[in-house]
This record gives sequence, structure tokens and C-alpha cells, in this order.
Amino acid sequence: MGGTLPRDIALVCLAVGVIGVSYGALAVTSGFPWWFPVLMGALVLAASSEFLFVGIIAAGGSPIAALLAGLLVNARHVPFGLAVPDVLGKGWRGVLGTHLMNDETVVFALAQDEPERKRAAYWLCGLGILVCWPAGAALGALLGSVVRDTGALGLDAMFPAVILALTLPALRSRPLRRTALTGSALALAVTPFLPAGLPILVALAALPLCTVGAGEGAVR
Amino acid sequence: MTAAGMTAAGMTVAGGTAPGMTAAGVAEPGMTAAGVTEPGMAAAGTAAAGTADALPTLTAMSALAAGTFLLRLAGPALRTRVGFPERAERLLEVSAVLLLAALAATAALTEGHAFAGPARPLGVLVGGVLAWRRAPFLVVVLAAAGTAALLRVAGFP
Repeated sequence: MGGTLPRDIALVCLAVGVIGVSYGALAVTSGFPWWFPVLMGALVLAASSEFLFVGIIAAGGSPIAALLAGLLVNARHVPFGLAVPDVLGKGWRGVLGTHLMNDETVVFALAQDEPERKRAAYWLCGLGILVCWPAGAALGALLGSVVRDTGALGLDAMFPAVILALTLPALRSRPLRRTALTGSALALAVTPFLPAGLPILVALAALPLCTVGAGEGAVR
Repeated sequence: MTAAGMTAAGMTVAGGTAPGMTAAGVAEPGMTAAGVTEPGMAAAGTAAAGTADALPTLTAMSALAAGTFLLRLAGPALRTRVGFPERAERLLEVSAVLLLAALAATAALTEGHAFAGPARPLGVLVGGVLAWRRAPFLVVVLAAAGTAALLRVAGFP
């Protein structure tokens, strides 16, 4: 695994750690004990669903609502898993490999050409995130009383920027870009009316726009 | 666990009402008490957040962890059973990109059910332009956060 890949992965893990800091801080300032975001970070390992879970409980929502919203957001892992089954490994290794599946690891795996590079990128990124996300959350929980307004530091702009930067290589293909823009517009249009998490799934309605094969080799 | 807790609360209300059941009119206050359960639940949620070793929250978190693992498992499990043609594989790759793009768009532009204000999307836009021009990843992320922070200093929400 040469080139800029290890450096790119390290930077992504660092960014995830920084997002973890804002997550830990959010959880603690919402009244959770310091270990809760750390434990949840390690066990769930899916940032947006954890933000949502903590946010809903903090707003006075029921744990059931928080659970359902979290599961809804994480439903995107089903197509993720269909896209990268070869990198996961078998047996106990496969259990860990499955647990490491998330936005970043899948994008990194899809961006590689050869199976061996796919696997290496997936695991390096996944293990890095498994360490950095809970560690960032722990740091954020400790800093929680200091950095009260994470918005003032622009930390909320980091998460979408991370996802956008990781998806851009695929979006250089015109048909795929058109499909993604339409899907995003659909998701944004229904956001005021649907429960959190659902709008993202609504974006799948744009799928017919991208005729399979038209964007030959687009996911790079 | 939450269900059990709710049932217990309901039992208490019912128990409280039971002695007064002789008068039919008492059913009204009883109903009101049932209606009050909503804010009561919200309060319980906040209390759960306050201690968070509160069993309902911890149980929901564990269920989210287990459910998320099953969702991650579903894809590969489905594929080994079915055996996917290449076109379907390609379709699934496209759908993953579609979901990620929509996630980025909604996370950038919306907060809850409303517009997030200009600072965050403009920050993400600056990050996106830099990424499109192949700037290093950390530059992209820091530029997004920095732009949003500066805009907020300038008074934009």
C-alpha cells in the first residue's frame, strides 16, 4: 500500500477524532456521564446515528425514539455491505470487519482498484476510526465543560465536509453527479416533513436516473 | 425496559385512581393524569440523560449497537445467499454514493427540520471547492470549520 493512501487515511482518522471531540462534548453538556459517548462510540461506531441518539435524549425524547432514529440512519449500511463484502474477512475476523463498516471505510475501499488495496484501505481506516472515534469522544467529554459552544469553532461544518470530500471522487462522473444532485435535492425537499434519517433514504428514489453501465467505472 | 418503566408508571396512576373509581367523574382526572404521562416521559428521558446509567437509555444504546451490527451484517449475508450479478453490484455502489451525497447535503444544510443558517453550508462549500481542486484532506476539513467559525464571528448564524 503505497502512495498517499496511508496519509489520507491518517488524516481522515484525525478528522474523525476531531468530530469525536465535538460529539463527546455534546454528550457531556447534555447531561450524560463521560463514559457514555466513549462506550457508545466503540459499540455503535456510526457517528451520525450517535449524534442523533444523544440529541434526541437530550431534547427530552424517549430512548425508544432515539433507538429507532439511530437504526433508521444506519439502514444505509445494508447497501454498504452489499458493495464491499469481499474486504470483511471470515470468522471472528469477519465479525470485527463487519463492525468496522462505516461511511469512511466503505468510500476508501470503493476508491481502490485492486482487491488487496481495497482490503488494506478498509482495515487501516476502520481500525484507525475504532481507536480515534472513542478516543476523541473521551477527550471531548473531558473538554466538555471548557468548549461550550462547538458551533463557534465551526465543528458542525466538519462532518458534512468530511463526507463530501470522500464522495467527490465518485462525483467526477457526470451521470453519477447528476443522480447524486437529484437525490440530495429530494432529501432536502422532504427534510421539513419526515422524521430525521428518512430524507437520506428518500434520495434513493433518484437511482433510476443513473442507468447502470452509463457511468462505467465511475466509483473511483 | 422503557416499556416496563412505563407500565409501572401506568400502574401507579391506575392504583391511584382505583380507590376513587366509585365516582364515575373521577375517571376524568384519571384521564388527565394519563395525558400528563407524555411530559412525564420527557422528564424521565431528561432524568435518564442526567444519570444515563438509567437503564432505559443504556438498553436503547445497546439495542442500537446490536441493531447496527445486524444492518452491517445484512448486506454480505444477502449477497452470499443470492450471488449478485455485476450490474446489481454497480447499482449498489451507486446507491451508496447517493446515500452519502444526501447525507452530506442534509448535514450541511439542515438542522432538525429547518435550514441550518448560512455559516455551516458556506463552510462546507469552501471545503467542497478545495476538495474538488484536490487539496489535502485536512486542509479541506479545517477550511470548512474555519469558514463557518469566521462567518459566525461576523454575525451569521
